[in-house]
Amino acid sequence: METLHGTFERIRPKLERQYLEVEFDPATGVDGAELTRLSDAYVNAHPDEPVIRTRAALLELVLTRGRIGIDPDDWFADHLATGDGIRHFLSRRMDEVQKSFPESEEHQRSDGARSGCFDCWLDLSHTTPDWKSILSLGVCGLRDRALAAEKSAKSPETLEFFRAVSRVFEAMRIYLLRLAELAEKKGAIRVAPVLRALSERPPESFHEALQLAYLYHEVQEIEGELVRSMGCFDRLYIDFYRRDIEKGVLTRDQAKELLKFFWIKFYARTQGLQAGKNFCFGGLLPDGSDAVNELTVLAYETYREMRVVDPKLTMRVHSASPEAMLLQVAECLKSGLTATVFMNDDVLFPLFLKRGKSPEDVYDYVAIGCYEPAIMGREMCCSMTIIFNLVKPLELLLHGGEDPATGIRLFDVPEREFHSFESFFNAYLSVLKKLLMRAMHIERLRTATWSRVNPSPLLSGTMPACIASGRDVSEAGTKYNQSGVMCAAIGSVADSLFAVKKLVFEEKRCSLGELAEILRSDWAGHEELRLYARTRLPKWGNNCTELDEFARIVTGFAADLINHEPNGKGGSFQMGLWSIDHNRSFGRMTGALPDGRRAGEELSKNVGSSAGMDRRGVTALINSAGKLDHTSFPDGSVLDITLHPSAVSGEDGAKLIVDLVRTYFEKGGQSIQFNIFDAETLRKARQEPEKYANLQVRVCGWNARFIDLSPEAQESFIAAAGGEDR
Amino acid sequence: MKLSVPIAEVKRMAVHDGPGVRTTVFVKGCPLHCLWCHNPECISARPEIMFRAARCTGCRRCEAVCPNRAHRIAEEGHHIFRRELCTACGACAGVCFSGALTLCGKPMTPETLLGELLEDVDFYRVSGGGVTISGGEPLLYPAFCLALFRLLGREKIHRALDTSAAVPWEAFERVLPECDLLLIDFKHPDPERHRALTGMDNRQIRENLRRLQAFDVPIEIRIPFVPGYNDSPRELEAAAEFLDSLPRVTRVRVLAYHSFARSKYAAVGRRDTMPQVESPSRERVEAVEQIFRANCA
Repeated sequence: METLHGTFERIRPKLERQYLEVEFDPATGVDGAELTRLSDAYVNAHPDEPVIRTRAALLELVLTRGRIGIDPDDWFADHLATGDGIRHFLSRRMDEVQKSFPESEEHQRSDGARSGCFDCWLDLSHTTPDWKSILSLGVCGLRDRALAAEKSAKSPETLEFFRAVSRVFEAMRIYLLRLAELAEKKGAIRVAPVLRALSERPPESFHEALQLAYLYHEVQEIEGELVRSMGCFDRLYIDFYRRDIEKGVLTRDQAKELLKFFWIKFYARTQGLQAGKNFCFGGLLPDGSDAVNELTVLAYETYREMRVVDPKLTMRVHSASPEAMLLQVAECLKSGLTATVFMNDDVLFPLFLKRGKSPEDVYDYVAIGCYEPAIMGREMCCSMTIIFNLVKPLELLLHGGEDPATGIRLFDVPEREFHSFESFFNAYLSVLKKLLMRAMHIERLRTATWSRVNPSPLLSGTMPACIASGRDVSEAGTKYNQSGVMCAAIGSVADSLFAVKKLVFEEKRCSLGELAEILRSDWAGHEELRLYARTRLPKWGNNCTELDEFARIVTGFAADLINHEPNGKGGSFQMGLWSIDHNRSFGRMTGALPDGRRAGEELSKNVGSSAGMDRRGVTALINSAGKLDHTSFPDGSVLDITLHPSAVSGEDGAKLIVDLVRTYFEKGGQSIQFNIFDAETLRKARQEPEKYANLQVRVCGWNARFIDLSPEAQESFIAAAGGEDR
Repeated sequence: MKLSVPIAEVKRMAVHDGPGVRTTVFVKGCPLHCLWCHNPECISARPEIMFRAARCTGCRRCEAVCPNRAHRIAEEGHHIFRRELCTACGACAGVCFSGALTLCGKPMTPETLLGELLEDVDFYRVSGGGVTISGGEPLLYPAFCLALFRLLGREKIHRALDTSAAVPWEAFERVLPECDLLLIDFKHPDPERHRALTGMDNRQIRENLRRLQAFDVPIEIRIPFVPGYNDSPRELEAAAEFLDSLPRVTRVRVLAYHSFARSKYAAVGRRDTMPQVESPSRERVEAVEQIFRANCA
């Protein structure tokens, strides 16, 4: 066996390209085109059968008849031709359902989307299966659990559901068997015994567990739902790992190499161009201890050696988290490997309890997608059913309810003259409410169509609550069923409210009507006023009490509204305070704002300030962000911290990162992530210094803002940053 | 005595001026004029207008408000600043939204600074950080330093003083009881060479360092490493030998010279004296630090 190991670096280029040029064995089944044809034919021949049955049949077709391939150099096997049949069926269902939407609501949604205010859709991409069931039962056990439930099914619908579940897991068993036979035939001794074992029983070894997890991940995505969390890695795999080590069948180095072959597949799938898959680490266990174990250390060591952008990692933190582990993570960040988000158990546990979750469930939360917290195996959080631009209602309010760029009218404002800032602020809150309620109403209609579009027997079959209730995840089969409302641009809202207060009501530099006209013309002829608003008025993220209070009021108001609104599947909507890159897409559709921002420029990102407006540095930004009640953002909230590599390059650099995390979390922050900029970003900073005003550089005995340096000094930093890149 | 002192800047999340996350207060005014000074705006004790021509948008508001006609925008938008007419009244900075003109050296009292320094108290506690007074030369203002340190001491905040030690001993004596850490520059071992490089010989500095050994305040020595100026084996050995005789020195840190501060000379209208030499390599810095570490232990 020994000679089989130690090959990763040598064949890494091939592994990274494994999905770009897959080698299938023609004798093993039909190719993608034929699968598509068979699949389409099946759908046409069975127009009236329950959707879930068709879904199971199509997945079965792919798994049992699709052409497969095995690379004997690989420690894992998963190459399968899929065709486009499942996608065809999904989009056909989606189109049919779309036609059934009431016209008025569809019209409202379209207006919301085209004006850059909000959009809604069915979110099939933020899911995670119950990894515990998968790893403890294996495909046979999952199939048998459904078969057992089938016997006591109480209605035709539940019977149909259980049959679909057992059918897809039986198909997965056959797929495993086919892979095993091909591996044996090809002499692929790395994978053959593992595949054979998994076709017969649950995984017992570390290797088997990883093989099953990867294969499940692939098959769920073939079924049609993205897997956005691979679970709490150190908790799920530690028993497998320890058992192997104790038995002497696996060394630590071999485990690391297996993990490299495993993780490189995630990179090979995305080529670093998509959002990536989340692996969670650490966090409190029910006995009060922390989950960090030798596998956490090994995983981060492996991640550091690999230097890849996928996977992305979550480190759960609480007040008693082991310092050494956090320092290990921070060392990765220091070296530019910034793919870890830190999440705060001390805030999330109370948050979950506030949401009515059972105390015993909270320990199992993971980050779905990026930093949206959800209980693994018990929750469908659908964290991006609505995206909402918090500052758009304010822009519309200034222009009487009409979007200046598109002419779309989202509401009418009877009275456009406000005699006090309070009346303006209240008017903003009331239109914010109106538009949020509208978006949630539309989304409820969409959610109701889910089971007609995309029942998911494979995913549902892992969930104990779905088996207990006989309901698919698309019919609220899991214990918790939420719908996330992403609320973007809180910084831009607070800044703009404050600017209106100052410019119009206190300093009286212009009337509200004049301000609206100036903004409509994108500040044309008023550059002086724009610069004043931009550079002299305080901004969110600078620990300014009066302005930060606006952010607190607006987020509190939105959270109260959203978090209690039923979502039409037995749960409720929940507020998220983040934007991902919609701060740019919404920004492009948002006109000039009172805070001095020009039309089309990006809006504030996630919990943070408008770009470059956190002038008083990282600590002030954290102080501001810490003032919000992050237990009221159950769909997640994340703060971005930007540091220059030189700020953390010294011997205490890693500790600085950990200290910043701990301080933010002590202040009640929910999640935090770091940017440590590279040469390319610095070059951009040279071209657009206004946007990078907060970028700090450490120059031996002093820190300086990057933009204050002479061009030569900037060039020197750029060179230094380039030198540190891979 | 008036405790108001010209403050060049309050820098938050300073991570190099002592342990942990700190806020550093930079005072204006310094008895030395080191050729390589990286805070040239802190040399003069008077308030100064900093002018960064590249940021000027030619809006002419400064022209309109300046009572001394120190600003003139020429035809093609070229901004002419006649510093000799400027009284640093700050009127131009008040209307310069592009940040080309800023006023450096606003007088502040310990009481007015305290609020800002306390904002980051949670960071100090978690990281073991605190507040550092730097400059310029803080010990030009011992009463100010003492008062500020007292206020911070009441809040249990760690206090560090970053000084050249080129001050009368009495200044140290007043501040020491309220100081938790001294950061002291040691620029060159030879008195005459020291005078050539900094404008003053180092007798007072050496004497102060010797007298500090009788006090219970830890000292971190910082050596600005300027290639060709203070890095010959003879110079390094002499420095190491002297520092080795000081038991309160807990650490010697070698700070690699950089010319990143060059643009600030033009901004305050000072002749650029920064040496035209390359920064020493990281390996070189570590090797030199090793000399002192060996001697320190």
